[in-house]
Amino acid sequence: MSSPRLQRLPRDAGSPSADSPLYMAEGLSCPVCEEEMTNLGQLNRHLDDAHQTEFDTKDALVSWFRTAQRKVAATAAPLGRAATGTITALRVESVIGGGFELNPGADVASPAGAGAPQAALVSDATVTRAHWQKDGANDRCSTEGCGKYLSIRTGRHHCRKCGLLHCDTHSSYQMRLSPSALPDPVAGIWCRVCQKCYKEREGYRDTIGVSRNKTNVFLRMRKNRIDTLLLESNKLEKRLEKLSALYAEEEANGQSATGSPMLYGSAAAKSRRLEQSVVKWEDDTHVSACPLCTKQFGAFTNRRHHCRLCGRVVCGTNTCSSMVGLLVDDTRSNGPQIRVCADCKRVVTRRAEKYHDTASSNSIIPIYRSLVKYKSSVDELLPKFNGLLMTMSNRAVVEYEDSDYQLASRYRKSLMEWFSELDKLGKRIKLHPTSSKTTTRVLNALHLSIITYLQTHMFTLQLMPKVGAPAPPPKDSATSAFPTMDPAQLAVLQEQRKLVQGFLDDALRRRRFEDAAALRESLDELDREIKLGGAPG
Amino acid sequence: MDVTKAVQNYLNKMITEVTGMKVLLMDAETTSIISMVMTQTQLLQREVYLIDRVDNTQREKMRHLKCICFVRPTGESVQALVEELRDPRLVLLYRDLADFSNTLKKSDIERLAEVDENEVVREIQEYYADFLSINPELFHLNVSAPSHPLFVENLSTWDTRTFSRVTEGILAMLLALKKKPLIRYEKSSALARKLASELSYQIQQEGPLFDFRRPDTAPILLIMDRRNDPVTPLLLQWTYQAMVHELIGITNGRVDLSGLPDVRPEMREVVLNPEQDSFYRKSMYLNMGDLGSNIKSYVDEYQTKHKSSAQVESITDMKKFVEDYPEFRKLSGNVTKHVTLVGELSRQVGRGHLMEVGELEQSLAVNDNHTQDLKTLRAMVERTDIPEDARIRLTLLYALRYEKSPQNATPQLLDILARSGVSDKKIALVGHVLQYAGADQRLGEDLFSNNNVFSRTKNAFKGLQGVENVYTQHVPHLVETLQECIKGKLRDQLYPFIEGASRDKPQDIIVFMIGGATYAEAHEINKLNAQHPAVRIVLGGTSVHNSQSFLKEAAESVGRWGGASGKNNSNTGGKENDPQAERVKSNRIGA
Ligand SMILES: [Zn+2]
Ligand SMILES: [Zn+2]
Ligand SMILES: [Zn+2]
Ligand SMILES: [Zn+2]
Ligand SMILES: [Zn+2]
Repeated sequence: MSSPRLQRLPRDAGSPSADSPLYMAEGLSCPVCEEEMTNLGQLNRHLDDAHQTEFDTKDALVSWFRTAQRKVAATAAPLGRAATGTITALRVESVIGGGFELNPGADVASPAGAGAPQAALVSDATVTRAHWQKDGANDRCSTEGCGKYLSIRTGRHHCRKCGLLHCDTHSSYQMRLSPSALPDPVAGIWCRVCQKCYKEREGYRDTIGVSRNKTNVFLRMRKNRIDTLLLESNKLEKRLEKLSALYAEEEANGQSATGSPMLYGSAAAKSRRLEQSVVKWEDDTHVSACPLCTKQFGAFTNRRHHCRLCGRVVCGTNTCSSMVGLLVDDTRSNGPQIRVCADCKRVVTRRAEKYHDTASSNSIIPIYRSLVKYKSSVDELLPKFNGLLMTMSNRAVVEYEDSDYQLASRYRKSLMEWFSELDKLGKRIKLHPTSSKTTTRVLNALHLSIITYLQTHMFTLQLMPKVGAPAPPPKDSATSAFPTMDPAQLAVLQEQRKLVQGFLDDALRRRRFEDAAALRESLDELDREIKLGGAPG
Repeated sequence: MDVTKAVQNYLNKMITEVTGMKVLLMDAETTSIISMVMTQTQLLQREVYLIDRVDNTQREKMRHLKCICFVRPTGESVQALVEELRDPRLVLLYRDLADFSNTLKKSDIERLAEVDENEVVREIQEYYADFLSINPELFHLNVSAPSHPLFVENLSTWDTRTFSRVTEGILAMLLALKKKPLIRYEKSSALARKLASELSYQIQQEGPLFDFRRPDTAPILLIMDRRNDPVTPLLLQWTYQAMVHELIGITNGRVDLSGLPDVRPEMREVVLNPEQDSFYRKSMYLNMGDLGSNIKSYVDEYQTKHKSSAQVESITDMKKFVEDYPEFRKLSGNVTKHVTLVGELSRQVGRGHLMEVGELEQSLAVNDNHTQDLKTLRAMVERTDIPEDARIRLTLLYALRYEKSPQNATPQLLDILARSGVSDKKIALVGHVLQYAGADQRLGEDLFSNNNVFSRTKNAFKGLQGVENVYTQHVPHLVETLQECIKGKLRDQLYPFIEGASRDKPQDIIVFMIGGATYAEAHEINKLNAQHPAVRIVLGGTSVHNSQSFLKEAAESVGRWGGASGKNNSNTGGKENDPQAERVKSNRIGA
């Protein structure tokens, strides 16, 4: 602005026709002495010869070059291309990030330099200008926070989308617009737009990434699996029922025969026959190792066993097969049992176990439920309480009878109650008995979350105004302003004292000694006030 | 285009869609990914009461917790999940929401469906948070030698495993940012071309997944190769973030200060995260000088608060103090942290005479002043009051700069180094880097001249910008490339498109640096973004290097195909002095 030479810049650049093709038809003139030039190369030499030492301000260069560039773009496009390389001013442009230039019209250009002629063909003149802001004498940049008066130096451009006037900086953006000036990424024409239109276009600020839901694929697969599993379990359950029926029958029939040890061997053979009538047993000789744990079978060491439900051979290790009570409602401990392989056992007991597990609840759950209950109560009431505090803080004096004060006191009482419940919960969590490391970690996390919650939510409780006293209290209040305090105020002080004591302990524990010193002073101060205000009589 | 927000949004979506007490199960990699964007406190606020590794077999039954499992779809993680679902004696989850970063193979879904007999899984989603975000404009894949070597056999063949990890990471990043780019690559790099064509192929394969809102002009993914600019990672940096990484080391957003003299217990390991630390956010790109004055005013601010609390005169002051306390305490921890860090940086700069070193480094990198620089260098490489690593770096810069010069005096410099007591292993690094990224490796650069990587100075603009800071004259190769790219004038001959083409000025650019980006480059990206508000640029890399880790990667890489001599030196990164490597501790969440 300080350079007097700026006064001699071409006047017409600021006129309403600045953007029109007519303007661009004019010739080049030197920005300093206004001498007419035939082309950019000549101007460049002229600048070097006649004005080299005068170009000391960057601003003059830049604003001149912008004007020149626009002219060159229209009148001497090929020449401009060749000549710009030699002009130092172009580098100035790149340094400060100016040099706005629209993209060629065609999206995908054919190799090497087909861009320029295309640009001339698809002009943004086909995009409507009906909505453009009328040019006035004292127009300002429409970008919020800018508001510069538009001149040759600042630049002056209509945003093709919103039609408002902007300075260079806030209109150095481009978008593809349809003839009705709407965004059209497919067939639109590149147009100069303002910062706001550019940054508020759809999807520009989108920070939610793509995700792909595979749940349906998964559920379909799992359904197939569960269906076969159900078929399987139905089959096995039927066998189980059949076996128990047979055993029950046998037991009823054989009632007379029991007690005779002589018959034991034949009883074993009989039950084997019975079991094999339900499912065919696999041939021992074909199996040399347990299919579940791959251990080799031996004559004595690792004996073969048949699963009574699927009939296959497994070993006797209790992870591979085990004895299962046969009669479901049998309460006797020595009732009939059958050997079942681990796979069959899982299938048969699946439903029972699932039921059992969901039914068993954990002792943390009630704690968590109360935590949620108190937190949500606080979250609901605390903003209301804070609102009341704000209202009252605008008054010079708050009376005890004030309805806001009364309401706030009531709110405060409830909040205090909930906070202390939360505090109690925290203590309960700490004492919660558990032998599980994982549970301990969960409990610690719950405890930490309560502490953090209290620390961040309790502070406004301390901000109840003093009734009857002008707020804020005078600085010399230490002796005079609190001759007597009502019990509520005293309670506030005592709460504060407790709080600060807590901070102090914490600071000491963390070895933050400079904090601790400050806190101790605060504590002393509070003690003095409590003494003054709370002294009986 | 904000990589941090992208990961945060994924995580938020994951954990807020499930209400109630939650456990978050992750694998090693997703743990690092998440710890970059969220603290434990933030997770607690979202009712995540337990964070655990998916492969932890010691966990007891916790059926009352809803479980969110966020793992990479690797064989190990899927297996761990299968175990989790199968074994009823261990945890059976009341609700399991398996979220996979990156795409999940159909066979893996089948395996999970097969074992989920108890029907505990409610939902399976693919969330593409498969990269580590450091700054909103910087991400990396935590892929570097020796765990993830880039090469096999020779310097133009990708290691298969690393290649697929890098491909997956970049695809995930594109999906997270919703970009279907035109891909360009540095022509001289075989690795870049291979990666570009694989990405292009994968994007086509995924079809509908990449079907985004059509942008006005396609975003550009520019794939570059570290070996075309070995200079940038070798130079001392003078901005906060880059300096901390160079002189102390940043691993997954954490800085290990336990080696510092008289360090306070709570300062043994500190977190540097622009998301959670406003002072750091404001000063991460400040240079040493500005940082000094900034930290001073930060301390003053702290002391003001401190004082006001010490002079509590009335109940109102007291209330105010109590109200401010949590903020105040945070501030005090932060003040200590930054004072400690800045103190350590200036201690190292002073003790190692790094200002002198930096000046010579810049001169070697940007000036063509062989005689004078060699004279200074000779004197400096034998000074034992300058750290060995710094002297190696200086020699390397010289060796790279004058590699093809007839006056090249590298052998003499190596002799001086050896005589001054530098170990053979360290001296061998010079040779390794020349093998790794010497003139013969930078084939494409011959299109200009060997000097291209150097002499990227701001000299051209000196007159306009005033006197340049002697310590920051060098401009990374990447910057010039991007400036051309922003103007829509990046040459096809040097940076061909893998498919399609566009003459438009790009509006979104993602640069990916094979072989590791640097914080100096991240800083340049930040500046470019500020200078060009109509363009958004994000930088990524296989890793984020400091000079130590770069040298280590170079040595590892040539060691892998250079035979036994290389192998011997594969650890020459300097274990004893290496602040960053080998210190990858078991990842934890939060502070
Ligand atoms: Zn003139
Ligand atoms: Zn607009
Ligand atoms: Zn403006
Ligand atoms: Zn069976
Ligand atoms: Zn077995």
